[in-house]
Amino acid sequence: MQTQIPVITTFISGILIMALFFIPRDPFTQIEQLTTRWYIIISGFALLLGIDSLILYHWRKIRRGDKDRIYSLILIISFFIALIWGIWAWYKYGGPFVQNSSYLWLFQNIYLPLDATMFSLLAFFIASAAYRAFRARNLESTLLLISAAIVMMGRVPFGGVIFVPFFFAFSILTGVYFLYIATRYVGLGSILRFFVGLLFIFLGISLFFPEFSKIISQFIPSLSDWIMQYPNNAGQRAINLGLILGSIAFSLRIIFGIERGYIR
Amino acid sequence: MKAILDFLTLIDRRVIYSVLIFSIIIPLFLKPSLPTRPTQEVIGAYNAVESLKDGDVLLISTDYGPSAYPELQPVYEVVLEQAFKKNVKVLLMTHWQFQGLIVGVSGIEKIAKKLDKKYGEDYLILGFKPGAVGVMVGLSEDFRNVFPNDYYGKPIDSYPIYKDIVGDDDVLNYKDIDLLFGFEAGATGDFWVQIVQARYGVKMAFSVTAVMAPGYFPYYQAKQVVGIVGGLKGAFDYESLAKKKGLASLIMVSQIPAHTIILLFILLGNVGFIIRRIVK
Repeated sequence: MQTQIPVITTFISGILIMALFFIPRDPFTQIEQLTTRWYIIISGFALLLGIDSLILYHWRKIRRGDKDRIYSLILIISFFIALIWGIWAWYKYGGPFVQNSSYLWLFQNIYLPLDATMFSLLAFFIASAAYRAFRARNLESTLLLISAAIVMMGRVPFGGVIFVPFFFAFSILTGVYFLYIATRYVGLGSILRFFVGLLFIFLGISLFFPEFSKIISQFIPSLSDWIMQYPNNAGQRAINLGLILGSIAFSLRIIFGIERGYIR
Repeated sequence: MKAILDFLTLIDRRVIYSVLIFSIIIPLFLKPSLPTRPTQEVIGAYNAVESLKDGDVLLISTDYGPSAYPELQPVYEVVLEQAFKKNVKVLLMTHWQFQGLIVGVSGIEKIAKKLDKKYGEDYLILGFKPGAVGVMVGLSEDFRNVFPNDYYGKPIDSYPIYKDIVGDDDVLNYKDIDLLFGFEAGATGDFWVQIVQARYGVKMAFSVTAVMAPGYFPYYQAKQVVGIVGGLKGAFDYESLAKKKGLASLIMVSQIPAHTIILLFILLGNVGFIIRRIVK
């Protein structure tokens, strides 16, 4: 009974919501509005549940005397300060985020810089990770590296001009590498690598000519836009289609009671 | 030789962090004037707001927090200025609880005060309701189903702006919205397109973070959204279109050396990597 009731409820709700989505006629639209209100109310309770589980999780860490319990204590104290301060600001100013509210001051001067700092740290981690991971190991990673560099420089003013010396150094380097590895292969593999190497060296040397480097620098922003509009879109669509098909399959498994992980 | 290769391939992360932080901070003091070439997606978003007329309704959804503030807030403030100058009625809501409220409310109050716009007449803050998709579907019937009261706790239909917006049917829903401008740092932007644009045909534009922008390009190409302002570069382009020098113009200066430094480190790493492979 404990499993059957949730599975039956899920089946009926799932089929009903699907039907409501595809039949925009009364009484289905009215039922949809009703279920929408239920959904909003349940979401509100989910927030309370989240707060409850967050506080309980950290409270248990403090009681157990875990090594990093000080952070849990800070979290709980901050939570209650924010809560009490918010209620007081509502009472005094008519809303916590209205102009001149002290709660707004708390957010703008403490929460906002903290949150922005946490997010900003990503720039440093990404820089370090890019340096370590972005290596031209094979043709695929080389293509990824070149396209990433083009997009990065195409997204900033003067990016095209800055890109030229980088492109020169990278082309010469990659060209030399391909010429070198061509000697390790025989037949078509060797010929292909030899010509790819020559192509890169030719590209690099051609940047010595101001006319050509000017064309490249002017071309970079357009090339960046092209990468975003075409190869990126194709990839995004493929990812989205895969995601949606996966979601549909998983939803059907839940609706028909094959997947019952949510009951446990 | 080994020492040189080690230097190139094993640069300490603290060195990378230090070089990067100086490359970001120093340009902030220089404040140069930078040229830009706005992309079609940004021009589309700008024109969508520019095409609004006196009395039209702009629904804004501020679904981001302080972490996305530098990328999205400049656009949000410029969009508000554009709308208020054209006497467009602005409705503000968020799916992002207090984070979306703080950036949304503080931004709209700042611009409204600057342009002498009155609450309840020129703009209305609907506030936050949990349930993202549920909220979006609920708004299709009547905004009062989801937001019976505004952010300050008064019934939304008690304000003059409500009576100005709704027609004779006395119902406010997506039919009354001329443009939806979403400021997105999460999944709610996708829901706006998949639920509201696809089902109710609402015209919409988005300002999104740089990491999210590639995911929105298919919507733009499929003409489901009229414009996308992606990341700081998009914000900078938007400010330049509006002929304003705001936060995005100020901090864009740092993005040039930051990108260059990252690319330089990648190049150094590859020089060491390729030489090492050849030497082996």
